[in-house]
Amino acid sequence: MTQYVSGLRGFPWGLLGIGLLFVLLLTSLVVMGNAAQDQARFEQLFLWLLVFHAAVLVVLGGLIVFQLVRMAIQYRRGVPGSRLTLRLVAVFMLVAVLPVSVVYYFSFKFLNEGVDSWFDVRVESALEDALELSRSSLDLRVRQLATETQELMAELEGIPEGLVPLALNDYRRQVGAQELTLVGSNNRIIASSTDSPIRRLPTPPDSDVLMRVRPEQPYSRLEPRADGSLIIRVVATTSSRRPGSENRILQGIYPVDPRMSALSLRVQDAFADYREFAYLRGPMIQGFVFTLSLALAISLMAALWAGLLVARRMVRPISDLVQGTRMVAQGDYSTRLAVQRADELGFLVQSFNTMTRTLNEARDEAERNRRLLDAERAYLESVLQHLRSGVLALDGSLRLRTANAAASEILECDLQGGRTRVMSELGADCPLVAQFFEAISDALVRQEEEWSRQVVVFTRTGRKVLMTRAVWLPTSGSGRGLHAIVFDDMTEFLKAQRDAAWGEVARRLAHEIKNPLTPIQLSAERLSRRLGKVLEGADREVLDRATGTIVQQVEAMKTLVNAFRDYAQAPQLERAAVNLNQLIRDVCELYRDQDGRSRVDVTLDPALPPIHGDAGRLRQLLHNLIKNALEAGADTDGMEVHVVTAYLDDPAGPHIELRVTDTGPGIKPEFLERIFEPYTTDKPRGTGLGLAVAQKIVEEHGGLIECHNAEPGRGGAVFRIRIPVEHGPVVHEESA
Amino acid sequence: MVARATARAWSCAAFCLLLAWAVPATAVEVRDANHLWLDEDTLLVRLDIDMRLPAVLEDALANGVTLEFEADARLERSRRVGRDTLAAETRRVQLQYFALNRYYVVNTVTDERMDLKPTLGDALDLVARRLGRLRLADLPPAVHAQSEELELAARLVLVYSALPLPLQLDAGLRGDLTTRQEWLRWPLGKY
Repeated sequence: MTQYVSGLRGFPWGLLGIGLLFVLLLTSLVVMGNAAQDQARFEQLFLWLLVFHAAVLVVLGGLIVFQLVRMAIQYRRGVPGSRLTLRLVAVFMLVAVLPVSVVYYFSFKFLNEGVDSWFDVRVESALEDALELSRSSLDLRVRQLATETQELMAELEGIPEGLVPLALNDYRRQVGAQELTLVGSNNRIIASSTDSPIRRLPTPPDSDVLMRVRPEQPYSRLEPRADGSLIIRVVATTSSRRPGSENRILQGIYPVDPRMSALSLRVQDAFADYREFAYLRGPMIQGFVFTLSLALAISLMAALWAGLLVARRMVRPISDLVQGTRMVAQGDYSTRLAVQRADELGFLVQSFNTMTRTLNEARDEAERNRRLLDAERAYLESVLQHLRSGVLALDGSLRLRTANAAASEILECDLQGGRTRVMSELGADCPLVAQFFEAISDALVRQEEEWSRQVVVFTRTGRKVLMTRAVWLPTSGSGRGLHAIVFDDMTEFLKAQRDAAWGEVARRLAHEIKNPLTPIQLSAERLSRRLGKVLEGADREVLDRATGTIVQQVEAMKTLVNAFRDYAQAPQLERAAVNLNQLIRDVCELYRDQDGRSRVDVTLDPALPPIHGDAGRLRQLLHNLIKNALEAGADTDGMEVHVVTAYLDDPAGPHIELRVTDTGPGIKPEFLERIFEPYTTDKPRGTGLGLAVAQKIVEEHGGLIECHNAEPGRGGAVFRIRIPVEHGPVVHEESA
Repeated sequence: MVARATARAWSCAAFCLLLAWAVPATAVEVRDANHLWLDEDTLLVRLDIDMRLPAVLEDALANGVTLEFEADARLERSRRVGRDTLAAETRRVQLQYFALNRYYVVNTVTDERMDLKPTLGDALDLVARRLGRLRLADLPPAVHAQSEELELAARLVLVYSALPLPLQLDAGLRGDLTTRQEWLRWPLGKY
């Protein structure tokens, strides 16, 4: 029993995969949604999500390509269901592409136009103005401190170096500086004052600053600090008034008012963010489009993959059904499909299984019937083949349907090889069939329901009497009707019947006629003796002639009666080993140069074995045959009779053949058929019993006698006798 | 801190895999490198750095984007498969434009030092100087005996993950932004 669906195959692995993929995508979207609330977290996760989606895309692409290639191969090979799968996938793809394309188009449009709407020239201008305002405010403070620092430096010029630290400390408090540092040549710190309670080393101005400082032109700048505050650094110097004294540089670090600092930094940060945001507008849109495209590609591929899987899952029962149908078409009714669904397809599969089960049972039943029919047919065929009666079956168009071996044998035609041929065609090849068909065709054409008749056909060996019976079966033979014809070769039966009748006639003749013949003969002889003494002259002559005629005719009648007796008497053979060659030589010797007009020759087979027979009866056989031949050529000069013997060992068994031929006129055709029947003779003085007796003797010895005329120009009649022998040929035998 | 750096490195690597088809143009690179022994167990790796920024980065910097560069130096021993790192040193420097005073701020993350430069050229020179000196300290004495077997490696990268995300995507997709530089290697016994 064929089962297409195994347990694991039925498990929806594809749908499970789709479910897992969907869960992963959903998870990634949730993560992305949560991360979008936190820019840093979003940036941290974005690449991972991107990689994940790309990996999903690659995996999906691979799966789809694999499925498509497999589907293309199946389509090319004509696998059941592949066309339907292709159509379903195309439909799924179309259904997925259309809405996704619409969404993609409007999303793309929204991104391009929506993001641009975020940026406003007035906002940018306001931010720039705010930044410029902050700059102006801070620059004012920077310039103010630069002036103060320059003035302070001038005041420090007049203070002795030993008092500078104190003065510096006082000045720092006055101007509110964080640090004031006086630096001499080679960055030597002369004095420093700071507001920090923790003593720390002052930071001298770097080389860039020193290069930019000019006398009376202090260098000043706003600097951000690592702690998020702002400071103002001012570096001032003066040209030395006293020759030989070193140049001094005063560096002052001033704090910016915390509120001012915070506001300015917030303005600057906002401006920077806005500029960065504006600058990244293009890449951001591209990023969104890229992400959107990626998501849509994943959606499309997922839809295509899902379509493939769903289509395959939907089509699988149909494919199984198609495959199962093919199996059924190929004769495999044991096909069963697993019912895995409770829907209409499941019902269809169930119906298919019911159908195949019913078909299987019907097929089995038909097979049983066929076997039974075959057995019946074989039995009938066997009966027909073993019937001695010929049986023919012809359909309504007289086409041969059935013929048994006996029919072929009787009609001397291979009818079994000529089945389905029309009888008229068969008659062209087989003369007996033609004669037989001609004799019964009128009854066949009339489609007589039941009839019988005696049909006589003529063969090379004589005529055949066929007792024929037929029945017309209108509803048989595929509805075209059927002639069932049975016939028997009655030739031998009729002949035997005739022989028996003749035997009875002969016996009665011998009994009824022979008895009064002797008194008649004796009376005639007595009359002749008594009256011969008293009559004279013409009376005496009349008496002698009359009594002589009576005695002669009585003798003739005795001969005739004896012949009848011989023909009719039951065989009481005295069997012994008979050397047929010697017997022939003895008999032929009696006829040698009997009248000088004829000649008897013998050609004897030296290897002829003795036969187990009655020598006297066989001698009579030879006499009858030779006498018949000589009498047939009585009017022919140079008549020759040739007697030939031969030992033959053919499939019919070992036997001797005796052939008696003459050069006479041969047997008239009208007699040929009945030559061995009593009183069948064309000779004026023949009794017509010689050949009948000869046939009887041959049959008493289990042999066969045949007669036919030799070919024109090669002699007269030919008698061929075959007598079976029990032993093989004699090796040492004198040649005749 | 280390975990975050590792995560960033993995992010960079993953994104590089994603954008493997893009051949980035080099923005900053180590042209040459050498080293000298400061004492028995301290090496100073000196990098000759080319700090020419590509236009996209200059543009980004002028528009408020902070650039972060990272210089790495390692002392390694080659193995049949992979390498053993005996010592490593990393320096990170951020460069940004400070609109309030129109200066470029060079912030050395490693030692929290901040400097201001009035021009981009000055700022890049300072970045190169800050990144071009890396100290490999506390080296084992056996290093001297195995100097022929050991190699020094150095590289300079723009920290890609520090860039704003849209710029990462855009520059990465266009392929005109370097993300990393291959390691420059030379034998320890060379100098």
